[in-house]
Amino acid sequence: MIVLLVTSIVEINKLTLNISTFSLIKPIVSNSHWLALVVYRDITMSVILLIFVNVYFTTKEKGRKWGISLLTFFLLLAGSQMLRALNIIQYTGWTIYYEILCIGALIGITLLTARITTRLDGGKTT
Amino acid sequence: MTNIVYDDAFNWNEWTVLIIISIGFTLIFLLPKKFSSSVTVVNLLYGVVIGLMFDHTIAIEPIDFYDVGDESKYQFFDLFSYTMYAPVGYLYIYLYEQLQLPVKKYWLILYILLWSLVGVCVEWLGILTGIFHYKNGYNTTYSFPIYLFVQASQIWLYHYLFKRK
Repeated sequence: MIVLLVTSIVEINKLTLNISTFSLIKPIVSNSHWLALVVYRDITMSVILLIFVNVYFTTKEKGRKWGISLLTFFLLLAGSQMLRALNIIQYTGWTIYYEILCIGALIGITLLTARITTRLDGGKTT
Repeated sequence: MTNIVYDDAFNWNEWTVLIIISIGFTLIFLLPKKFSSSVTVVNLLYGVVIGLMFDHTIAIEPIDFYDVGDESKYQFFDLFSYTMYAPVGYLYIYLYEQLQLPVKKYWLILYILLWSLVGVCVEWLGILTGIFHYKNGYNTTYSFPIYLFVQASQIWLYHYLFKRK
């Protein structure tokens, strides 16, 4: 649960900073498109990361850990590019390279949060 | 996107945020510890995330019902201001346990209604001090059902995560 909350904070701020502060991403001004973007930001991404972190920490083999990390990375990248392809957002300064860096950072933050969280209360997780 | 500047000084809105954060965290440290670390962290983060989710959904374009802070642009202090929701989420569950509401189920309705009223009053204070700036016909009463939903869902989540047998 803590992982879900932390990744939500990061993702919500990333999107708002890009839209509102730096104007690097432009959402298409229609309520249905906006709703789709919010569902992706608040639900889809968080659920993908939550599944990833659960599978990651229950897998023992190193190769499988890399596999699930790469799969998650490409799923998130495909999701963000699908938003572009479906005209839900437009890049106005943001690029796919920045997106790749952000997704990498988000996966790192997710793993770090999960690692810290599993140490709370002597290993009992929430 | 046009940027509206409401003020550019460190004044009442920033002080109100700092005072709420100080009072909230002082209370958390002074009150006897009741929860484990994970319960504490979840309840602290819940308020922050829900505040962010709603503000960053209905307070930016295309919906854009209100602005937070000195400018309509998202600023660093706006990000910091979400910290003020953290102690509220914790104290809400703390008092819920302290009043033994999990066993007095009908009182829970009154409890949620009261906290929602407190939320509306604090939001009204936020309007007076310049933390929130309403636009496009929004007003404080519209937030009431949001508070009802958020607070009821926090109780549900608390039971789902920590009270299930």
